[in-house]
Amino acid sequence: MSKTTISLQNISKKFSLNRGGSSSVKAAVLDLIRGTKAPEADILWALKDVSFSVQEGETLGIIGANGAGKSTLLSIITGTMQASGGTITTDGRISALLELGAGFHPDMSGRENVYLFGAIMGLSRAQIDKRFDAIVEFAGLNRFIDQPVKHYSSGMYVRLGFAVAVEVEPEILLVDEVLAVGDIDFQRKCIQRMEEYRSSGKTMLIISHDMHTISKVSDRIILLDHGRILGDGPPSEIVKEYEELIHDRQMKSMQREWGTLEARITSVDIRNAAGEKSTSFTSDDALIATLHYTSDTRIEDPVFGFALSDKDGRIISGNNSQIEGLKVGSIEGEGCVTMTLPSLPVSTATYLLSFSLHSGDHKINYHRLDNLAPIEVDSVVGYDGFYLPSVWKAGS
Amino acid sequence: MYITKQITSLSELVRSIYERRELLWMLVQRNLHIRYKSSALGFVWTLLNPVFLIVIYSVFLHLLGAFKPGGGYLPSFVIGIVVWQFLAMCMGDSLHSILGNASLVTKVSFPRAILPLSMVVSNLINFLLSFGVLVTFLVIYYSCSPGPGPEHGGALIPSFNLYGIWILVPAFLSLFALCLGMSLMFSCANVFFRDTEHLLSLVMLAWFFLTPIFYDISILSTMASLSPATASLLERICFMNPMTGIVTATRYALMGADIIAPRLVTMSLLVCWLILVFGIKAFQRVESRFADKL
Repeated sequence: MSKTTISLQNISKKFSLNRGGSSSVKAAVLDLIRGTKAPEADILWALKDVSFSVQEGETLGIIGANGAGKSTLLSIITGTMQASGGTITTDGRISALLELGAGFHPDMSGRENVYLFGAIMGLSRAQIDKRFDAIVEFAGLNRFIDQPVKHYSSGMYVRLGFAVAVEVEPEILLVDEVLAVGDIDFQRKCIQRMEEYRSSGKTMLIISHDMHTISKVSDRIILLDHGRILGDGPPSEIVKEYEELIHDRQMKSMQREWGTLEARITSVDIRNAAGEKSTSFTSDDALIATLHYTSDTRIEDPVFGFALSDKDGRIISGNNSQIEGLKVGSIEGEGCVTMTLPSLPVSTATYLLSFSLHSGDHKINYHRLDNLAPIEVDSVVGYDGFYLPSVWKAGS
Repeated sequence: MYITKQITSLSELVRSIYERRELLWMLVQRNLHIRYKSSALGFVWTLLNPVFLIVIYSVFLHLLGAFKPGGGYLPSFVIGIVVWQFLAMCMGDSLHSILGNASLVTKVSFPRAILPLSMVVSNLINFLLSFGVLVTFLVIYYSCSPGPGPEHGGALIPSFNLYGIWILVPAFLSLFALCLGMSLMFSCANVFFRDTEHLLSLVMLAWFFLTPIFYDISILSTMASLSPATASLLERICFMNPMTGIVTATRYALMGADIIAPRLVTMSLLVCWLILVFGIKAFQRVESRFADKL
């Protein structure tokens, strides 16, 4: 029966922004006089109500975008940081590979640093003596172990850091994004060591942005986003969830709205030929976009336009009502126009639609909605890009 | 199993540090090691520093005319300086003991008090060596001094007070407590307020002059302008300064001076322990927030 080695209940952590706390006496005294505390807006919840537990022998991966709270979480588990709320229980000696070689003193030799780090991790001199050769061996530093670490290459430094942290044989190993450093050879060695570690039945927590490695190494993954747990489950599932999240974010981040706003496109409905709202099409389907607008003043001969971009925001094609010969006339108040794309002769991918409302002479942009709506196209076009009709015959 | 540990009681703190004594010792070694790293003379500097200190002050005082062989001024002064140096160096070193180890403090969990403590211990070792040099100097100085003569106005010849030497034990223990207490306070204050460094240099300057180092506390009673009652009150106030008691006690042991005022010295030494307790309490209150600020 496995037991729980790490258990977190409703862990929260807040940081106050701006001053990073009062780092001058003046600010602190002023705060004291005014009786102010950091206003709610200045508080960042790095973690909010995070609860999970890890069983002995389990390898838990933690993924999430930068600033999701992953490292804060590890710091709280390590005990270097105090949670603002919630309870945490851990069972076993924790070794954290938060930053390889953290705490090494540049003026001291590799040997001295190994002993010091071992002592910091709670090992006695005798215990380090026993492991010392293995550490040096793993780091591959036989010749350099008595050199000051400031003369080490960054690779040597990191190798020694990893070797020490792993060889102190903690019951719980926390690994924060260390797989990103070191050459391929070293990375392979690290992963191999972590596999050994895992198979020896010890508990591990890993943070990584390398989705491939983390889903290979972990038994379970937690997806953290803005300090909250969004997902907790089998690696493949959570990694997929994360990738979708990132994808959505990317799409959203490309959205842009600008213009003079005298006239505005208030909404855009995208429908298929059957008149149902849709975001997925085949290349043979028609796409019908209805643009609802409102105008504060009377505008003569405005032009409605659209553009089709790939998922990175590069425009593939575009067109407008003027080119296609629609005389909109004048607009005032609310109204709508409809655009139909009879087919979508582009390759299978996600595309973004942009819409615009501008003056007939193209000098004034009333309203532009860039990369507004993502659509999926399942295409018969077998190549990248779009279908360009071409006519062929034999001879010249 | 531990639940997010926050050491709050004194005995727990002492135990947690005792458990990590090996780490403490390694940090002490590191501190000593780094101080003399890539210096040609290395550890010899620990002995040379007080030697030069004594030589420079001897020459300087001689030029000023204050140095009369056999007189008590030079020993009195040198004793004060050596004792003061311990405090001054502790403070200078510990001030950055938390900030300078930010990478450790934010990554690894261990009793943070070990960092300033290791600075104080390594300076204690330095101090004891300096003290050895001081005693050697005094032995030579006393043996070279001429006997009492009219030119000294029949003043007491300073010599070791073999019966009073025991007083060094409580005096030095209190000195250690004082240094540790101050180090704990300033090392953690420096994490939160970077002004601490500037404040410290002012505090140390004022403290230096408030401590009877190049004067003797007995001058108060010889000041004609003061009524005996005022002089006694001033003396009491001076002994609120823990360094006054320590310097006075050390002079008592090494110079045989009859200047000791047992009650006042005891009070002075007790202040040291109060400062230590205060320092520990202050440190414990804020240590959990170090990682947030570093």
